[in-house]
Amino acid sequence: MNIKQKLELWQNNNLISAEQKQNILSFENKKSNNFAEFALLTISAVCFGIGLISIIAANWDKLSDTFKLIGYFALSIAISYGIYTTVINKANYKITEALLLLYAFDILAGIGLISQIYNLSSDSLSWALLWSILIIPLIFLSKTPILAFFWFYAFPISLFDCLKEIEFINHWIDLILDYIPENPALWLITAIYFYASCFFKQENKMFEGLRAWVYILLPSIFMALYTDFPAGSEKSVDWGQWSILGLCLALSVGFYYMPKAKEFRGTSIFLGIFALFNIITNLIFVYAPAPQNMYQGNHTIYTLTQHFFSLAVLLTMLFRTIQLKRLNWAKIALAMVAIDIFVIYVDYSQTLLSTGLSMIGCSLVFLGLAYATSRGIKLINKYKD
Amino acid sequence: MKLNKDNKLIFVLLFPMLILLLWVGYVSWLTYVGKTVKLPGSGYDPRDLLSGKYILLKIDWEKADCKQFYDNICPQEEFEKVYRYYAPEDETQTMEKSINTDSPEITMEFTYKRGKMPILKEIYFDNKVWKDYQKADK
Repeated sequence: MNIKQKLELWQNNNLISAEQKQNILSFENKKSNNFAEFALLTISAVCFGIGLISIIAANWDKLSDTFKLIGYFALSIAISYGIYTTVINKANYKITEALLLLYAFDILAGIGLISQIYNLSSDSLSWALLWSILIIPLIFLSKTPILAFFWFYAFPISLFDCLKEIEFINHWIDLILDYIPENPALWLITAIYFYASCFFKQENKMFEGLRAWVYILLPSIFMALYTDFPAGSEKSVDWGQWSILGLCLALSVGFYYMPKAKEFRGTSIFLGIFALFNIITNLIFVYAPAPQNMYQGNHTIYTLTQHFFSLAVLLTMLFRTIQLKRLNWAKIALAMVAIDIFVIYVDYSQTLLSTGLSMIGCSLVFLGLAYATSRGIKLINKYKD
Repeated sequence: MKLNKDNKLIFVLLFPMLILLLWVGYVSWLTYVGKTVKLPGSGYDPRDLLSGKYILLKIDWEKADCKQFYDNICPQEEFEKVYRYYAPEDETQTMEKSINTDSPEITMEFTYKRGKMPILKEIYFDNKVWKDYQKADK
């Protein structure tokens, strides 16, 4: 039942007046319009951040190292100043949030730049660990769970990876990691996260970030499994993958009927849909009878199609959830759009400089859309008045 | 001193930059105070999207001149197993080709200070800075 239906029901039962209903509706409308603008600004910040990383990664040798460093710190100061002024002036929170996300990307780009200039090497994911430590203050400044979500993704993985460098710990981590990736244990850990976020009310943004992490973890594992899957290979039945999909469906049904987790029913439906989607694509692309040479050289097309398909689905989900004023779902869709853009970039970018410039171009388009949305809403409201 | 809200905000925003600046300062200091050592290496070219394209290099300790170090002993444990040398994107293909087709003798130049992390400064192909080697090769 959406908010409009609920309000009608309340009005019909004389719980609220027509005027109160109208006030609530216009308040809710304003909230979702704000979120649409916020979503566009966030996608714009993600594209800009990726563009920045790409341009730095292209390692343009026409600029000296000192110039690159000065340029980098000048940009960081400009972004921080932007955050400072929006926070102090209590300006539009959407701009602050987009700038915080951009700053987080900027810090990542800085780590890359310093490693590049000084040829720093590391066998582990220490750069990701450093990044997740440096963005902690920004998480506490943020009012949305997006940065917390990134943190939950980067911190445990990089910490595990860095601890592996300590010989004693390495032995135990190897044992665990050898066991987990294609094993139900991973799904049990996921289940624990679910229970944790059930018992601790998700008012806290860290737990919202944690919950989003669960949402993203599952699809990204599917993606990893299927994009690495050699389409048209001789492998006929991969029981590991099928058992993961089966377990996922089982978890989905389990969560749906779990009495403690009524509010997670949406999550379980989401899980189920994702598992079914993957089962269907698996059947179509891998097991469907087809000419022998159909998949030869088509692996990129297959994965790219799947990525763009998922991006289209996620953007539709974002649009619909905003329209239906389901803002918690919209937040999740937004985080997934951001991740999908990043995954497509990592998998398919060609030359770094051109990718960087195109990403910054995309960012400006989204920024323009955000501005147009904000102006459009103001004009509509003015017209209504 | 009690920090007011504004100062806390400034600190939160400057914290990542300060850490990165300290890191830059420390690595620059190491390159300044360390002595230059040259070690033979071998490598190949993968790709890293965060920091750009780089060549992976391994030190060939069997051919290394240990007289460059204190007590004429090669401190192998102080060096990484594999090093990255970041090159401009448009030059890495020719670089990779040079390594694969010409198989030049690769030398890695480090700044080294005992007990500290060695920093890879430059690489040489057949005793020429790799850029000069590629220009000559063209």
